[in-house]
Amino acid sequence: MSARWWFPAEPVARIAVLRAVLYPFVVLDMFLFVNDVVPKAYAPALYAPIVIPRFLHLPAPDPMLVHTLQVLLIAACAIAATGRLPRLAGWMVAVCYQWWIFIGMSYGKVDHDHLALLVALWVLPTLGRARWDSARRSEAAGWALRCIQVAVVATYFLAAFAKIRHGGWDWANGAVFTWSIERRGSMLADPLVNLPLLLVAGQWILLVAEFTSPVVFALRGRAQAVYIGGWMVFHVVTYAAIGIHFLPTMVCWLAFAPLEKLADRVRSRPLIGRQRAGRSAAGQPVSVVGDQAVQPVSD
Amino acid sequence: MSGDVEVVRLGARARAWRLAATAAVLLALAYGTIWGADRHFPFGPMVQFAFSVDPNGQIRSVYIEADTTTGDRVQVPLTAEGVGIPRAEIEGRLPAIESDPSLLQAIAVAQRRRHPDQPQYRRLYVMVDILQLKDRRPAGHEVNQLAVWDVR
Repeated sequence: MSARWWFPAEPVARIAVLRAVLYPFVVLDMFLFVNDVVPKAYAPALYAPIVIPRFLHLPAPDPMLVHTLQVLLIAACAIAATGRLPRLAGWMVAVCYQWWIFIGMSYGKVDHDHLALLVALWVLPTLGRARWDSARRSEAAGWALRCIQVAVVATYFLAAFAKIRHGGWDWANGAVFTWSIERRGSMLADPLVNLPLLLVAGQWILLVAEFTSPVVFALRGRAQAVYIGGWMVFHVVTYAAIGIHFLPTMVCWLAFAPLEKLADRVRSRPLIGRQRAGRSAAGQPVSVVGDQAVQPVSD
Repeated sequence: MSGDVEVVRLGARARAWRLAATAAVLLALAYGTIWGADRHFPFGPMVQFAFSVDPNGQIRSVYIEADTTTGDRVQVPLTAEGVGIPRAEIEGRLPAIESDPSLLQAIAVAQRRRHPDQPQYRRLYVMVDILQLKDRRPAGHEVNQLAVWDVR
């Protein structure tokens, strides 16, 4: 892999959109997904810190600590999502959220859907101000996006290796889908335990799809979008069947999307509506914060 | 705005530290995937469902039941909204709990703190439901008790 591959010149506006999506998502994650950090802080006996927090001598969580993290995260995410103080607020989110996740993963169970989101939060503050209306491309933006993309693909690709390492080549011929449905299947999935051949076929398809996931980097445009859509469908089906959603990874697939087009649209389309609304209300065009195109009217 | 797009390049130094950081993380992930374990999070292996289930083996589901202050035997909700400790965490610490059931005290304490208005737990039972598979199809259940703890 050449060094140049890591530094494509990508639109800075894509970073702006990504910040507006990922930082609010962190707050969502804190309340919906890794939402047991606060209750766990009240059950300190079960705290068994994993390697990195132990190495860093992070203090054991108590209610005071986790509520402080929560408040800091909400504040920093709110600021960073708007694109203000991208470095200060961004690093704040990265450190606090990493700590939050370390606590969440230190009670015996570790989740594997957060790698890409963590990488995203650590690389987003490496860029300064990124505006929605920026027409620039930068290698710094390209590197950040590349890191998130690689982290997303690694989540799948490395999962295939883990399956072989821990389950052996028997994994795909085993009954692991039966196991997951039996333990946490929905009404939708429960009847599937009586279709073992279908489940075995699914296991093979998943293993092959994970191993070949880096192919996404060879695809372009529509083909790439369809491929990524395939993984989205996989996650929706998995959620319907066994209640596992992988949203923190799903949202990071956005690093592949031409989000700058969305930024374009948000900038240009509501403008017409806003101007009209402004004229009819006050007879004067209204200038909207961040809306450059409105400004010249008042000149 | 004109059609030509401004491209901002990175200097040699900016590239160097980025490549170094990238390489370090990739190496850590490679190490974790080959030799690591969950405790090396976030560099551990991506072990979501990474275990083989014998088509003629058993599927074990752990759950916890409790005798309450109202004299009922109830299932303990091992969720964030319930006692705040998910089932998988109990399963992850199962060997420790089996050799030292006093760890279950944390569950009773959590219930007291989070749901003081509900009946409280007097005695906790760690149970396992074992489903026998035959040729990948369910063929009979069995329920065993793994640990008991009298709440203090």
